[in-house]
Amino acid sequence: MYNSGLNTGHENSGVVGSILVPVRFIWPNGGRRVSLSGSFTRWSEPMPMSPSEGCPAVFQIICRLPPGHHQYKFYVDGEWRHDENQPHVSGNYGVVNCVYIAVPQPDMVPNTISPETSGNMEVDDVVMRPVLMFVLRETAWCRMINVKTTFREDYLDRTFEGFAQYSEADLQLSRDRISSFLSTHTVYELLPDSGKVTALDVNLAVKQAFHVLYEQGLPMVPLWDDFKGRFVGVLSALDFILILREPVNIQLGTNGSNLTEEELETHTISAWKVGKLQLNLKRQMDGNGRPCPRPLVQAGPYDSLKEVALKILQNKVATVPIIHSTGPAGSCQEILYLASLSDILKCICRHFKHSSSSLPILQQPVSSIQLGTWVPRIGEANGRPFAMLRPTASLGSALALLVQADVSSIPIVDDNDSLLDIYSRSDITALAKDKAYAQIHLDEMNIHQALQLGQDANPSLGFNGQRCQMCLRSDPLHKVMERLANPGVRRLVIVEAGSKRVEGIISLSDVFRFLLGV
Amino acid sequence: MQIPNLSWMQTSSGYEDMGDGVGIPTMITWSHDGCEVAVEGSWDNWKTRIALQRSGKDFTIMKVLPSGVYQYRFLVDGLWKYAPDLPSTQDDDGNVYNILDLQEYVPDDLESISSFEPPQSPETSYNNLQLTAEDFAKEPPLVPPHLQMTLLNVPASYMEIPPPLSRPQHVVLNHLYMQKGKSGPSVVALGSTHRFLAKYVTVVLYKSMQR
Repeated sequence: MYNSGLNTGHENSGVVGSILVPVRFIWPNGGRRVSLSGSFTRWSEPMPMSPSEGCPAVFQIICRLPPGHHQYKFYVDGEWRHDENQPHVSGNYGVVNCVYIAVPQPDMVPNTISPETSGNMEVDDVVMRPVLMFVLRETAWCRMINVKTTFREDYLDRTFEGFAQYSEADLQLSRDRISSFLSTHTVYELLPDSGKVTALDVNLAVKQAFHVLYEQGLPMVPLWDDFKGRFVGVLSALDFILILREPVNIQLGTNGSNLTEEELETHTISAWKVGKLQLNLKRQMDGNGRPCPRPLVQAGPYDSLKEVALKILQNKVATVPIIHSTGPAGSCQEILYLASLSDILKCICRHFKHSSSSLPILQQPVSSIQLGTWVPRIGEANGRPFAMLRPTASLGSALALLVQADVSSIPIVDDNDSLLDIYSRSDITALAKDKAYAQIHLDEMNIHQALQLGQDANPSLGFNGQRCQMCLRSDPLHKVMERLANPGVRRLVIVEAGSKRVEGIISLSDVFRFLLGV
Repeated sequence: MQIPNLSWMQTSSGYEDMGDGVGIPTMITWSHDGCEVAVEGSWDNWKTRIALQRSGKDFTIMKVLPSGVYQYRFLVDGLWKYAPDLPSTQDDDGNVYNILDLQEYVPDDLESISSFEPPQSPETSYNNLQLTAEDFAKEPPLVPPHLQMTLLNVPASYMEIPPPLSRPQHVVLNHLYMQKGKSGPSVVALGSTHRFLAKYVTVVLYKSMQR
């Protein structure tokens, strides 16, 4: 009889970011114009209440309140009145009604107000949010209704279990704020006070390049071409994975599985890059139908952070060289920095850390927003299969999986799917230790041994927890963002508390796609 | 006004999220009229109100905070005010707050550092004689010792998060350094430190030596 849907005509938000519970206020004692004022409106402008259908003497309004104690009073036809039959106290404003809103739980039986509950009719609430209904006072025209809130299973997606469902308005507000922040700040702010950039000449041999990456601990380097006088590309861990895997290079005319040491020594980066084009990877055709190299994805120091973030996401790269071009037609290039999404995220976190209420979406647990890649649950339709490997799997299969699944890391799990370690593309540089790459066969070394190589070289990284950062599904988004903002952390593995069973992965690009709405 | 980072640990303020980062001492000043001035800020989520101390016409307080962006406002004789001469922002309800953007380092003030000005060319003429074989037989002049203070010789750190480089001395800027043979028999590393606006960039380029 009474419309139990959410009538959010008169919303009044409490502290942004906390849970707001819709509450219906009833004035059953008649009148012509009735409005409501309370501690939740700071006792200012009263909110007009509307007469109920079929019971014109009963006025109602639904407000969204945070949990806690509230006081309220009704303004009826020019006079302040309180409802005698509801709990009331004497306060600063005379006698006021008071109400306590509990933090909502599913399957909660409401009724924190009036104990009079005779004459019941169970009404199943078919809304997604828990709604506390005040018990209506019996009048000559109306029946008493006792309402129990339940969650209907079909409205609950099991993957998104947070009881604090976020509103679209919160999400849009957060996205707008972040977008305007990113548009007004430039890459110059990301630059450290005193930074260091390593670059390689494109005519350097691949083997020496490998060693430089390993010694300096770099995941990628920009490539400088002396002849052209500019930066032409980058060399990253993925290149080494491909070099080790693919039979080499059609230009040199050699065949066979792995590159021998001499071949690596003479094979220059530029020759490799040309050969790579013929491997059908990220190929673009120029006007004559010949494959042409992908232009270097770069940015300038005065570009806005939003442009750079979108560039990174659209081109699916991890790092963008920041190049300052001066001189005629930008012919003189000065490299300043290698920017990645984690730098931008750090900037965002730093700026909004102390005003968290301005980004309400950040308080939501990550399980309730569509973020990251999750292991499909039993009974759910299989979306993208989730890549995981045992430590006994061969290195060759790991590298194959990295390339085919187009992911940057694979969790290494034991038989119970509990997280042990993580193998990322950048771990490939550990093979440079003692020139392991020339002596191993990819299919004979397993992942565990490959990770050992890396740990021997960098003893400070021996501790497992530092290598793979973890989080829980109930962690709020701002906590996940702060962890990802640490340099060197590009992904978080979502684990189950206690058992460390892998439930999903959230990467930097997932977070940015969500925040920017792309 | 900021005092350069002395790696202080947090001292007097007892709020929760000081665990992340060293505290940087910073001064908050109210230079407009008033009898009693206090300040509240987002550094502890607006929980405490701190009275400023009067010194002459100004009211000041020293706070130790980790690097970040904070909002704050002043309570002057019972009224909420913001300092119009300091950076400020307005929220959705129309309230205006001052903004404090606390960096970990004090950026160079480009207008005030005279060493950014290149020195004038010395007053000489270009009529020196060419160098002869005798000159080459002599010892070359010594490298000025301050050029040893280049950032390029800072050992590569194997930590996951390398510590930030210190700010280079201005004397090593725009000099080219060379390192031979460390990364391989025919590999040479060329390094140089430049200034870009108020930031410093050290670039190392690895090239192969060709015959």
